[in-house]
Amino acid sequence: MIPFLPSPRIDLTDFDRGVFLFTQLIINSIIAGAIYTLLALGFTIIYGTLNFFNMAHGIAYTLGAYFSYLFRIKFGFDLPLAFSLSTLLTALAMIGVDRIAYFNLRIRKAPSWALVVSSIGVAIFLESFISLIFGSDTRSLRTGQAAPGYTVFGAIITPVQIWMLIISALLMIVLTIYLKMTIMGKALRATSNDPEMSSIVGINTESIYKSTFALGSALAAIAGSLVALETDVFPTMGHSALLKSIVASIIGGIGNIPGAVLGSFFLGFAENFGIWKLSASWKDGIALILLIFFILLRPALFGKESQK
Amino acid sequence: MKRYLLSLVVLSLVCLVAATTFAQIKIGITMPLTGYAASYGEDAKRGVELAIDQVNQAGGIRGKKMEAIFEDDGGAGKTGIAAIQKLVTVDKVQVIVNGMMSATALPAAPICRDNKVVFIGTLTSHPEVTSPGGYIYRIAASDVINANVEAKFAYNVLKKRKAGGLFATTDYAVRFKKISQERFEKLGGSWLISDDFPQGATDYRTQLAKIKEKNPEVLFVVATHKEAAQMLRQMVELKFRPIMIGTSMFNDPTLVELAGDAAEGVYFTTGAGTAPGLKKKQDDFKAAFKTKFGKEPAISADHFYDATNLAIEAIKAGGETGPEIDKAMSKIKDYVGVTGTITFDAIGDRIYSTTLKKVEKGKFVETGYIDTGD
Amino acid sequence: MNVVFHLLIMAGIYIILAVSLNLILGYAGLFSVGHGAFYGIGAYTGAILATKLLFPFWGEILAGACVAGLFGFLIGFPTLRLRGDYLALATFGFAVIIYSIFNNWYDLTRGPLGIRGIPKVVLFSIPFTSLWSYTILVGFFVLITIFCIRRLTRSAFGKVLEAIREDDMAALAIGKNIAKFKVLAFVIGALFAGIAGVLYAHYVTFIDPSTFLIQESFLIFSMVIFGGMGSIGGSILGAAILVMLPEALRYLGLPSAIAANMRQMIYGALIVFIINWRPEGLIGKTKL
Repeated sequence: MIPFLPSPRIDLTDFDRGVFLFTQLIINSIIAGAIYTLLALGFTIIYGTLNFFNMAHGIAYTLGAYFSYLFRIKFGFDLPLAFSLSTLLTALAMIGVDRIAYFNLRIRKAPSWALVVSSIGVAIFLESFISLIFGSDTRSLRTGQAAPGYTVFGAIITPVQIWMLIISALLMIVLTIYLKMTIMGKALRATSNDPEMSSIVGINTESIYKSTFALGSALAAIAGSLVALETDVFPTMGHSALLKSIVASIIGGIGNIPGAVLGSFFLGFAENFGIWKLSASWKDGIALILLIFFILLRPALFGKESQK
Repeated sequence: MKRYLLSLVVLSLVCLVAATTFAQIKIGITMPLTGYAASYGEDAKRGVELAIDQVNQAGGIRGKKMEAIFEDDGGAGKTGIAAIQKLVTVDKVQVIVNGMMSATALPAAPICRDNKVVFIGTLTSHPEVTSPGGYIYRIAASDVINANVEAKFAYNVLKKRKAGGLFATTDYAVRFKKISQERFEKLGGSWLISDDFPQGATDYRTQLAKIKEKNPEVLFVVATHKEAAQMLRQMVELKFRPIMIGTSMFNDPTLVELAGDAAEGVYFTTGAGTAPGLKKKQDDFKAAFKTKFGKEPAISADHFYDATNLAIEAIKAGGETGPEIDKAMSKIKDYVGVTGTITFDAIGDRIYSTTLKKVEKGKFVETGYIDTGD
Repeated sequence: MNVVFHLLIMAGIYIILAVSLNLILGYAGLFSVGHGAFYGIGAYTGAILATKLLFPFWGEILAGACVAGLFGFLIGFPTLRLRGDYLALATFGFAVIIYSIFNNWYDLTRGPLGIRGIPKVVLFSIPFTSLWSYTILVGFFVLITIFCIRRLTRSAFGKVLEAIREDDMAALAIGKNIAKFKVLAFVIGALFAGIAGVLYAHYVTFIDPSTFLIQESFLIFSMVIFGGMGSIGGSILGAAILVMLPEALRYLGLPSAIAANMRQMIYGALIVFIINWRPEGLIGKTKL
């Protein structure tokens, strides 16, 4: 039991407190960047292969969090098992979604806006569904009391945040290996570059599409589970995640994988340092302004994956 | 065009059918069942159900059973208006309990008044909901009162001189910030920093880091109990523990559930009352609520329960039509509800006295401080 | 009966919104997902003028249309070179930014407090304060909108828009200044949405940012898709049905918590269904 603590009257000088704030913002930015990377990677590989902005990406994030909640709190599994099951189930669920909502359009070579519209419908449907099943109350994934974090260069980082960094980094490495060295991975890149040729060469493009969708959604689900550990779980939590996925991907160049990483960290830093002096309610606004800015100026700045 | 007419006809038929229901005494209730405030809405619904159950088990009113018609108002203007329209014109209720959010209360109140239906607002604290003209009542305290009370408490009782604030970006919070800052500074304290957050946010670390840098001793917070629980946990992680003072939105046991030990030492305002029988009434209410629903009531349930019972009292005393109920409501004096003693002033606002409660060892305890406004 | 008028008024407002969006989306083929922003801009313009400056109603209509139209230009012009789905993201971002401005620019819009006390309408000394008279007023504007848009789409202007929708390059080849037409489509569509906003503001007498979240834009967008792109009649039907449907569900007597979620679920499922199996919507012409 933590007895009530009076405020820490550690008399730091203004400079020290300024340094603390600065370092804290750096740490916050890196953590945000790590999570956004998971989201943006998923979003961008889906765009790269299936060719549309998956507006239901935020729902994969939400599902990951809710499944983790289900397994961890309701069923009492331990954390790694809960996370793994949740990621698996979310991926499977999204494969099902693909079959119902996107497959049809895909084989008829519908324009990508049709897929976007369909994904909007999916997102609306699933969000209400989750709300129906679990109730719109906020759920918590945490067990146990809040504990002070570790002090690093004057700023604070918690154990959960450290795990976020480790897991994100690991996943980035694994993904890179997958894409560059495994057959499936190369097939994915091939299909993303030139679907017709890939199909001619004998790649089963349909299974690539399914597995990419599953992979992208799995990444979002992991992000959701991780964030749920720190903050709570509620049906509309995917909205913010979707926005960040879009912005980070666009900044780095949609479809561009290293770009997604870059864009994510850029966004993380821009947001956290942006609200240093501004009031915090502008945080989402920063993401939006970056979005517009980069959409309009992207071809000029990054050149790579521009108008196909 | 044909399809359009057809749907219109079907709609009208449905309306007619709905209107010819049994002669029970009906009251209309609107609350958000979808959207951000949905969990408050569900809590509110339970409060109403309990009140209705209790009155029906006691034999109803003059032998007739009471029935509540629930409508989702989505916490937003458009849906709220549709809900009110339906209740007033189709169901023809004579009294409506509403007003969790100003967005629904502000347009709804005049509609009720125009139709001679009594409007009882619950949690909305927007000053413009009530106005002279009758038919509109409200049982929540206005922001002005709460903000002043908190400022005075922090300065005079807790003897703190450096304050900061963390506010939601809602109308309630914006007004609150202005008033509490003004009052605190007028008393002689210094207001070091304010920051805000969008509704429903879960990560306050950057705001808290900015606030920690300025190091205030007391932190005024306007947020829901869930948001506050998050803040408290993150404050512990950041090793920053000023005294937090919140509003009556904190008055929910889930605050302690979610925040755990981090909630220790938090203060918040609630309605006060030293009327005899108040404590018993509150205990009875809590017990009955727990028996029926298996959980403790929170702030919405309290207010909606009182509002429903007020309507019941007014119907008992006055009659079943809108104007009769209105007359009876205006005469209510010192009614002991679970939110305290209720008396209405000339424009339907409640005459309020406020106290603060504190979280100690995981429970809400009284501080004994009472402020009757100034 | 009041409920019927309420539904007619809301249906009318959404018909104006859907038909105006159809010009941009269905005829010009511009993937605009932020139409709600113009709606909100019109509503706020009307509300601010009415409460702060006691503007006459017809003045507000003009002002609402002009300001919204101006923003139509502001979004239409920079996004000229953007391809389909990028345009969607840009308009999406624009709509969310506008919402942020409504919510944060306290001095102008009173932020989350919203603007209340918007007076009932008196036009040329005729009061339109009762429900049925307001329905007629809205109906009047609906007719004007349909008339104007119809004339436009049947004129040379409309043909050029459709040519642009089918193939940018071909339209360019016959010497038309595509940019001008695209921007005009945005401006005109935005203009009528602004009018709808003013009508809404005076009906509900209180507006706040929460009415103009991105969901609103999605709703209008879905009405056009559902009714059929490139078909005015389709937009009318789409708007009417999507306004009536959730309210009709209210009467089915489902427990309210479930009903609310079910409404949303049906709405989402409807979108998926339409786009997959009947993309031309109810009466539309565009095939996928």
